[in-house]
Amino acid sequence: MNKKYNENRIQELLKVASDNITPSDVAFDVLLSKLDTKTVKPNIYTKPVLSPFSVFKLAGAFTAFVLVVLGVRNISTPLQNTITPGEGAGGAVLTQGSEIALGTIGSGSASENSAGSGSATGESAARSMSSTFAKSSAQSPEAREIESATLNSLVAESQADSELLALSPDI
Amino acid sequence: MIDFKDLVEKAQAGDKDAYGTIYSELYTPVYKYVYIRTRSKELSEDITSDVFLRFLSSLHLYTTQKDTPLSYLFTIARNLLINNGKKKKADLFEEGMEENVRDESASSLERNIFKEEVGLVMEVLNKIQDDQREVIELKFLSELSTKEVASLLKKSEANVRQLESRGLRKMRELLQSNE
Repeated sequence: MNKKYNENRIQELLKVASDNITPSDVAFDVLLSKLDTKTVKPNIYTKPVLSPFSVFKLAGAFTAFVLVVLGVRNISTPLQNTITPGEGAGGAVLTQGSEIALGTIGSGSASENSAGSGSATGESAARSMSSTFAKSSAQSPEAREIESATLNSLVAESQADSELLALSPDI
Repeated sequence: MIDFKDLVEKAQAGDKDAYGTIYSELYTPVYKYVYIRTRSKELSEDITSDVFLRFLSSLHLYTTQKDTPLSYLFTIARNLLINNGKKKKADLFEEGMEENVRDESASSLERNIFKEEVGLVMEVLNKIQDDQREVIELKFLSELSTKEVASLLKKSEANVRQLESRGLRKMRELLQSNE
């Protein structure tokens, strides 16, 4: 067996081979001239203000907020619409009055189950309406006449309604 | 002993002298590593310059906790070599070899024998397993420490030593069988 090549000899030859691999002198300035100095930035890691995930979360929260606002509006609008003239004992004209009239209608509708009380509430509603009408209109005598006639007819109607309710308590 | 981590931090802050020191200290090991793979001076110089350009341009992304600068540079070099994909089957020793082997005391015959021996060792190096060859190239041709090789190849130091030992043994066997 030839003992010429052992591990140490091989390492020695490899070292010679390594020494023979000599790069040309490449000036560092040449390398730097190739390098766009703008690309060398300080190593300051700045967290993004909003990560993609947080953008989604924010968008979700905003959408939920919008939906809640729209939902509230949609719920409140039908409520206002449901307080319609025909439901209250005071009648259609009464709802066009002021808040007092609306409050009266509320009490009127609540007391529909009890016979007799509808008359009282209907009258109070009519009275409150007449005060509203008196404040808001009737500048001329003709207008006053029309107004008083309307009110009289309303009072008469409400009295008739209450009498009808008194006659038929099951309604 | 040069503190490369400190140099890298200075370079990241924009210190050009720090770049210069990193470049001058690490250019040769990287060049040797590339040359062994390409066997071409021009290509090796191009790739090595590219390695440093990439290193400097990505310096702001580099963190000293993860890798040493040398292993980071070698990783870039490996990737570039993979992309380059060329292995020139030329003689490892170009015109420079004759100069280095020349020993005044040695005769012309001895010099020729020595040159042949080196050539033979390099030839045999290409015949051993890839993982063993890579360890021997990094350790003896690029002159990295066992720790640096282990870090670069993502292996334990014991594993690197084992690969080195097996590779050298295999080379010896191949050389002896050539006799």
